[in-house]
Amino acid sequence: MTDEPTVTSAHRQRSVGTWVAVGVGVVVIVFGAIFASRFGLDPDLVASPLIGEPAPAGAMPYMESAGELSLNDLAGDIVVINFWASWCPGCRLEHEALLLAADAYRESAVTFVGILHQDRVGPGIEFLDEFGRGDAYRYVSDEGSRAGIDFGVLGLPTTFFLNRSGTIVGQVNGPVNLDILAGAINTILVGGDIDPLTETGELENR
Amino acid sequence: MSQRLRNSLYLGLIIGLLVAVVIGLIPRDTTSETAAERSHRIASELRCPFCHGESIADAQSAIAADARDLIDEQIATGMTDTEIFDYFVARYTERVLLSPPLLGWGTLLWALPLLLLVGGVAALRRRKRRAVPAPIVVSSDALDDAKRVVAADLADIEVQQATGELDEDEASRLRESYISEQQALAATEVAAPQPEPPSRKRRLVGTAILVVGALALTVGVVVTVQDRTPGDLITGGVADPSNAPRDLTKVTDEELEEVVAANPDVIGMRMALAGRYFDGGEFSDALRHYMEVLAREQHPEALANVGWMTYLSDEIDTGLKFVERSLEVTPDLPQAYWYLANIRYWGMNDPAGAVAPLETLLEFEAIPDEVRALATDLLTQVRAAL
Repeated sequence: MTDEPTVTSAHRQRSVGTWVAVGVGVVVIVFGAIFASRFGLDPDLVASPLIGEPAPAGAMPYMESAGELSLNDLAGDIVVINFWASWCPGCRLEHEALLLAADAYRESAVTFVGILHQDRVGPGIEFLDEFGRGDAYRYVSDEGSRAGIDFGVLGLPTTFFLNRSGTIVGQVNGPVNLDILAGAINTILVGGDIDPLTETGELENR
Repeated sequence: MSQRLRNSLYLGLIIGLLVAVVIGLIPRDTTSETAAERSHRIASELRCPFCHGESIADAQSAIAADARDLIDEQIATGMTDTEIFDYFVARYTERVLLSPPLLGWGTLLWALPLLLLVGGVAALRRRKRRAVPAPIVVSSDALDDAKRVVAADLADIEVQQATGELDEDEASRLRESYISEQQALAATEVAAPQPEPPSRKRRLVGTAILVVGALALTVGVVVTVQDRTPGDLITGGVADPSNAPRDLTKVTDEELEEVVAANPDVIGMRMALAGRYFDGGEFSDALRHYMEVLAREQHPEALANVGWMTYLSDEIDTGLKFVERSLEVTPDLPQAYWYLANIRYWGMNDPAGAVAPLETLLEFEAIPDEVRALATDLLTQVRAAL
């Protein structure tokens, strides 16, 4: 036979259908895999977009004395800002490490600021009475949660590191320990970059 | 499905979409929006970053309440909606917005349902077309050629059998197959010339127009619908909550603010709101409302509470005057005696002056037990200091 009859597109249509089915299958599998791989991750836990930005400068009243503190007043120091509350279990865990670090780095112009967030001053002071306070540690309260919102805090405890020019360079969500504190402060002291976000545990809110 | 039914379905779909667009295009009414309504609208468009899956307006947590207060303040300082949203986005990223922005991935998100719909309709139509069995079509020339070839092959068999090239069995087997081929060819229809299929280019343009149109439609509807005011013509809701009788204990401060703002001269409602702020220690808000009350009448409770707050902010003499004025208006307010005693004893170091108001206070029968206990304690303390 010399002449092949012209075949219509019936065959081609079937193969297009197959390709579409395969395509849909692949898309479903890829999306499913992405979705499944993100189970257990809290999508809310992202580094604050304020990292790399100057720290908010709102004034915060001291918990145990008159007067207010603005982070601008600490320009030139490395500043460790710790958001905490008396009801927050993670804050108890990290408290000793914060006191030790505050004491150890006192001579290196590193200032620790504890911001009492989502809590009243009374219970905050009781907490400090029970667990101790740092000598040069600045304890202020966060009225109306303004500082927390200004810093983009998602829960407690949260710690921020400011370099000597007052720029937010790193954030820890969850309790800190001495390793994290010393590692970050040492790196900032020699002018290096620290991780913008470290996660150590659950954040709590009231 | 009959053609007619299908046509009316399509028509219904188009009318439905048009209605949706028209509804979306009705301009929303922002002129009558009060500050509290505006605050609530903004808060309900912000996801509470500290809670899970709730808006700042709905969340019960303390920090969400603080965020609502912040929005109130921002409105009071004259920030625009966009500035307020930007403030939260700058601190919590775009995740804080409950409706994803119409840029970047957000566009895809909004357009996806529509694309799926268009794709689905297209796939259904394609399938329907394919369901009609396509006739096997050959050109008439090719058919004639094929018939000629089979006839020649059949003739060849006879020759080959005669020359002994094929044996009997082989020959009859071949003959059978050629004959059935010949019958099939005879049954084959010659195709009518095929209508020219729409060119690929035209189909592409058509699809593009459909997709772009659908996208524009989605974006348009979304943009207009997403910033509607709760309470307007489309979204419904209570336009004037002051008309509805409600159990005041179940009304939030924000709602009460709205009601008070709508009815500035209803003293009782304003006193209730101020009382909530006063009890909650939110003195600046309480003071604001008490001053509004005092601008209208010498309300003894407003006088007494303003006096107490003034005293607490270290304005001892002014605070004392307010409390005394309250007692001049009415001698029947127990808390005024409590304030007076405290101001005299703690603020003015005048224990003798504190005795009489405490004794008067203890003569009230309606006061709660804990207040009675406090007053008795203070009286003991005051007497000891004499």
